[in-house]
Amino acid sequence: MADQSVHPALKPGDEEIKLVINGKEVVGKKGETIISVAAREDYYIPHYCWHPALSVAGNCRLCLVEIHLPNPRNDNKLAPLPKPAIACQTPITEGMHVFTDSQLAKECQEGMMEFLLVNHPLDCPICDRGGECMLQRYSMEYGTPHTRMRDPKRKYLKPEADPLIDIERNRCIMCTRCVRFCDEVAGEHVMGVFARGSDNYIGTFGQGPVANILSGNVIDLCPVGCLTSKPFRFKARVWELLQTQSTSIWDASGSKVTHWTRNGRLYRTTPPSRKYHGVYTVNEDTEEFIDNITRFGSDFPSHENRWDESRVKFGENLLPAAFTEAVRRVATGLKKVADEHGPDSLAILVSPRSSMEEGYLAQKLARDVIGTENIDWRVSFQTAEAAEAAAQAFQHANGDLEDGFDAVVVLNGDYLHSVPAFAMRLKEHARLTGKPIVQIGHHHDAFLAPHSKYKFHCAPGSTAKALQLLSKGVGGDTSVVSELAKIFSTESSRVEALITLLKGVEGRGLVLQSLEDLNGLLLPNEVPAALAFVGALGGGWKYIPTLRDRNAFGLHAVGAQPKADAEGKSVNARQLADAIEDGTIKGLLVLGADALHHSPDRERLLASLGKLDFYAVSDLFDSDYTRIADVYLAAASHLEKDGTFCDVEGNLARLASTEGLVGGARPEWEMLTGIATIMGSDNFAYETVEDVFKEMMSVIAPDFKGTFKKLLLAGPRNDNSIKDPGGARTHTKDYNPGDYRTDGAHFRWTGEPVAIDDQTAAPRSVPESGFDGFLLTWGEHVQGDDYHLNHASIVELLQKAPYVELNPVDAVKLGAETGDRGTLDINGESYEVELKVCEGPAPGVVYLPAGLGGIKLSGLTDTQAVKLEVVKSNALAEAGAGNTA
Amino acid sequence: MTVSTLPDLPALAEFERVFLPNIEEDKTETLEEYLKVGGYEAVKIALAKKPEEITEIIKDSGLRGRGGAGFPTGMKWSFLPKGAHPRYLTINADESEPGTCKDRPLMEQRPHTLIEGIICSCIAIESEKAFIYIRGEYYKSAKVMQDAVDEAYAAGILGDNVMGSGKRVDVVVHRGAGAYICGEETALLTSLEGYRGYPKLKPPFPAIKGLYDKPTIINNVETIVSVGWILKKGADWFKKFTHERSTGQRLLCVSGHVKKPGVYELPMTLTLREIIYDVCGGMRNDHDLKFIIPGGSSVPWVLPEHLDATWSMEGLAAVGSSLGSAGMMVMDHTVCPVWALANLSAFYRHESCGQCTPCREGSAWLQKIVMRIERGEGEEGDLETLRAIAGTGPNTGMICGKSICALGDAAAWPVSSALNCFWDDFEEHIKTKGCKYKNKRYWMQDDRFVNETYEHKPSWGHH
Amino acid sequence: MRESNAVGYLDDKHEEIEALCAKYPSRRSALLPVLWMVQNKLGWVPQDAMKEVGDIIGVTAAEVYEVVSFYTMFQQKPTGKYHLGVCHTLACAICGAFEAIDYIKEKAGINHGRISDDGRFSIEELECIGACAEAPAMLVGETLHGNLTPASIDKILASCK
Repeated sequence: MADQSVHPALKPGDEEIKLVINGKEVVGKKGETIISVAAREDYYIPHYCWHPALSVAGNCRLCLVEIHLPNPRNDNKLAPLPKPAIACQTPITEGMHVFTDSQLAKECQEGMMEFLLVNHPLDCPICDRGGECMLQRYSMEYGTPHTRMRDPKRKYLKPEADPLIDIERNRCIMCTRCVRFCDEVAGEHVMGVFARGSDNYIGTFGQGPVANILSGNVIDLCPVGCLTSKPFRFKARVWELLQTQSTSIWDASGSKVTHWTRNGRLYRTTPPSRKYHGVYTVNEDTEEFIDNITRFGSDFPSHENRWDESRVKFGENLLPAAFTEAVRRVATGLKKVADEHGPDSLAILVSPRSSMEEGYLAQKLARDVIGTENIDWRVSFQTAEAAEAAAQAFQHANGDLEDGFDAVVVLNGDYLHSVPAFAMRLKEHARLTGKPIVQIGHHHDAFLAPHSKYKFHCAPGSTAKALQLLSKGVGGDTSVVSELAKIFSTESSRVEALITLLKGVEGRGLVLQSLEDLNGLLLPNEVPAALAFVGALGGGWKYIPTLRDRNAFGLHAVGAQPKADAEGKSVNARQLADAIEDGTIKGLLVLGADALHHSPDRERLLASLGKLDFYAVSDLFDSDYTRIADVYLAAASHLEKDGTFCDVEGNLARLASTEGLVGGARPEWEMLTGIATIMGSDNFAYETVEDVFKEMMSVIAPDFKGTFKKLLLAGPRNDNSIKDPGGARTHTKDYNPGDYRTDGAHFRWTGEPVAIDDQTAAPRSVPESGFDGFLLTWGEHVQGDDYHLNHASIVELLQKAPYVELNPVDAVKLGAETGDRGTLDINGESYEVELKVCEGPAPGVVYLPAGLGGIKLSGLTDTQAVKLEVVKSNALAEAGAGNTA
Repeated sequence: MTVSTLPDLPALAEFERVFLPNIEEDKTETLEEYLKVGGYEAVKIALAKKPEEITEIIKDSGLRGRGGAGFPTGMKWSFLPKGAHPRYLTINADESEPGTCKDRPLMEQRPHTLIEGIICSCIAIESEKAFIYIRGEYYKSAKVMQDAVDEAYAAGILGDNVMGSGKRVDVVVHRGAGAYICGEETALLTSLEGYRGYPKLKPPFPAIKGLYDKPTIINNVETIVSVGWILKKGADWFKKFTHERSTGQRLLCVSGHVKKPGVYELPMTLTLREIIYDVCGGMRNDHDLKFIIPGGSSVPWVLPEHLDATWSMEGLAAVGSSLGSAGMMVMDHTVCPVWALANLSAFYRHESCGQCTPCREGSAWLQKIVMRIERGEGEEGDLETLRAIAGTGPNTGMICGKSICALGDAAAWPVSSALNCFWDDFEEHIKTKGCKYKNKRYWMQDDRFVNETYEHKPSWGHH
Repeated sequence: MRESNAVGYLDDKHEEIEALCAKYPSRRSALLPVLWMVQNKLGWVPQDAMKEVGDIIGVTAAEVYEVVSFYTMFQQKPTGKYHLGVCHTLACAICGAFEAIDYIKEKAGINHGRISDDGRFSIEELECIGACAEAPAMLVGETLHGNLTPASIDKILASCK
């Protein structure tokens, strides 16, 4: 170590501290705690309450260690501290000697283990945590084999609080990880410690649910059997299950997951399992948190409506056929249409949940074999104009959270319910570092609001104008301040402070834009405005557009949409229904019927399909979209195939097959290869999906250094996991943090920012003031109607009841409070919704998460005025009822 | 009344009572009355001095905290980081240690002496805001203190111009709501911040990072009252009656089986024998003395053989106990030590905040075992288990020195001390499955702590 | 439980609460005092009041419940008109606290549970209430009574109309 200027564990500028752990000289940086340094040096210190992602509680006392310190009053001779100290909280100091396995440390560990088991029911045979329980492990490693407990044990009632999380308080060790997670990470203190002393217990107020999109993570955080998964309850023992590291197809944040399967059935999905003492398990120290849809909704391929045999239309009937026959029929069907009506009478629609390889082959089929630009994945936008704006946004995306940020400007959107894990990471960075979040627009993210330094509301349609003025403001033009203050309805001083803040950012700044907002209606002027704003802010600023669609970025990167110069000349997803209606499109190949389901005008699209000469679709299910096909291609689900996905930050991750193919289902890349080959191409000679990957990467990112295999490896973004002695049991592989980064891949745009003219930036028309109602803003909600989620086994527990967000100012006017019910009138239709009063929407605006409770928002072309009426109930009395046990 | 007169002892010949002089004749509850007897003179003295001069006087007086830990007050004040503002003074009036009832008469009968001490202390530590955290059960104390604070504000004694000096001192009276743990200084702070009264992890200590994460000094009511008197009368006056490093007067609360229980203002120079037999008039019904708990329920018990120990911090430490909060409980020969321990163990189980493992589980387990022995259901090995859990002295056993705060230790000490003093009684309970003490109360047979289901509050109390 | 459409428990206290919050550097510090307001008004703290208090202070109902359930003086069930808190910790116990409790229960008509049959009295055994030198002692509402004897208990109960 002598010749190293900076210790590998430190960064330049860190203050180095030398200490001794169990006789070994080690180095840490000032401010680190003993437990972190020890973990790095392979000294495992047992712990329950400590968790790297949570604040220090110091309550389990299991990490007590013996400490000797040099005594300056006695010639710096080592003197033991009178008491043992907790390693999770005690900062390291120069010359400190730490003993993690001394007689005293062992006595402490044994004592705490005995205490924790004194009231524990020891019901391991019926406990779902069995096999991955830290109480079991530590009992073996740090406990004593006997117990001296002779008295009756404490017993608690078992509440039915949450439909997804089972609470068994008798097993609780009061580490309060779940409470801290809800409070600190998930953003709301819904779980708590109630009562006092040895009678205290965890729970929720009034036995309510832990209603949060991230709530399932408390299951993994719980080191014992107190909080377990209800859907997984009593289904299997974890050691019987096969683990596969893969990635979420739900969350465009790019969450890595482990699928736990047996006999082709998915039992549970968790954050990546990691090796702990030779066994791969959901490591309770993991900092990867996943959303509930990923966790509980991934089992949809087992739905009873699954069609795992390809089908071909004979007369009026769609009858099972061999895969090869089905592919042949598709190839000949497409060729026939092309021969009769020309290549541009064909279109290919790709699901936004398709892999990059599938998107790549689809566009290769369209461009190289058929010869058309009619290929698209952008199904969820309201207008073709919006889809084009989205393409522009992706073209200029260049930011990520990898190295944090010094400031972030968040534009309109409900990020938590669009890209949950990404929103969580963003908030965590702001919370832990105190870096400012600035929210601008007509709808702020309520989840980020408590951590937002500045929040500026403006009217719907004015965001672009505000950004244009701000761009001038940061450029030194002070004349814009008063106009901005008017747009934001605030004092000039706050606007000046904002401009000062933005100008003062010397390091990394981020601008976030949700393409989900109003499902894109306003994007045609907001995207250029945001890009110009990033440009005006200067060098350190980057741009991240977000969209709920899992592989939007990957599909954009492989070119699965019309080229920019072909937009307008080709048929994109939003123009498809019209094009079929007017006979421009005669043949259609759809890869994944969810592409149709997610279209805002899906009824019209569905009705138009009958006019096609040829319609082929690959999918999983018997559904309205597949029953009417000329050819149905049985597709492999996300659990059965391999492929590559790209998240909103531009990171690649590999989807991995768990236990191989089911029935006659095949991955789409095989279908596309077959179709292209039969259509006469000899450029589709792929043996494996890895071949596709290699070719794809050589085209879209020639400098890419990673490999397809390495992309399988999932892991946390900051891997400070506890190291382990080795000895894998499953086929899971180790994780190297560098492997899955897309270094060398040109997924990030580096060119000049675009300019925006006044006309583009001008506020969109909004209804005249003085109308009797609210302006509606909306976006897709991850817990809403979803083709795949609708087939999940516990869909009813995952989909949320419809609600609207309402500004407190309006709530006061209406006399409404959170929990009240109301009716929302949109275009003459009336919907019953729950009211949520929060700082999300601007005054005069309501935010409706689209898709909840089947509320459809098709046919909207501009900001709408809607009516909201409150059905006043006594929410307080309701909350109080039923609490008394 | 609880404030009791002193006998004519030669040892007390020159001793002057100031905290609670003859209350009946010398009413000083109102500001008007207090000003007549020289009230707030100490503030004038303090205003004329530099802050560090006041701290030096307090250091010189040898004043040590009256709450129980006995930490030198002047030294505590000097831990405040220089130049860090705002900083707060917090008065610990959460007097909850069983056997202790001295701060209540101080607040109820002479509230202005506390305000005077607070102003002096605020000047010394350069704080502009003080909080008085009064335990919830002291309804009257809170009311009297609030009235006195209001009076002081109206008279310009508190507020932004303390007695015309231009200095600012604000005092907020804050009530607890029934939690012994809030007497622990950091738990008091979390409670004052509006949370469950959980002790904070130390370090950092409150003087560095305390209330609202700002530097904070926490002192007991009697300590702060002493500050005022020391300024008025001088450090030398305070040191006139001294035993080793125990200087000045203290309020002694005597309860239990003595003829005259009460709150006595005494110098720390008398022996336990003098206190029980001269000051308190001897044992009730002239029974035999069984044991003394000399400093609040947490401290080790003292047997009659140590009656000649001096009632001071050092004197009691010499016989293995502690002066603690100076709440002395005296037990005569009718008291079963097992029963007495069961009572105290139930107290600590009830009052453990439940935050950390050893105290939460340990206090309950100890109580279960002790109560079972008391019930006559003790088994062989129980005493060894008690020993293993409670240890044999400081930082031994499974709780002491391993919990977040000292409540864990406080729950264990009575157990180890009772075993030290009355091992034979415990063994007899186990062997005979019964108790030989005739007037034993049988309430503990209604096993209120065991085998219940807990959804709401507590297993203590009736439902 | 309240009638539907009823007003909040603290609707008439908002000014007082704001003044209280202003005394502390952090609004949350007013949580205990505001809960005391509720209890002084109702004699106990019902769950819907916890939600109301949470909204006023700016914390979740769970956080309020955490606090209420920690401090034993906050009653989570209705109490009698006169709430008797009798100390049962050692100093009082060795001076007859349990005899006093039995006597009070008998005289106040508390035969089962903690509330008397006529609803006038509720009883609770308290840990040390700081009246050790006047043992045995009890709190009747906010008033402390020490040196309890059968005669003094009779007198105290009789004065509770």
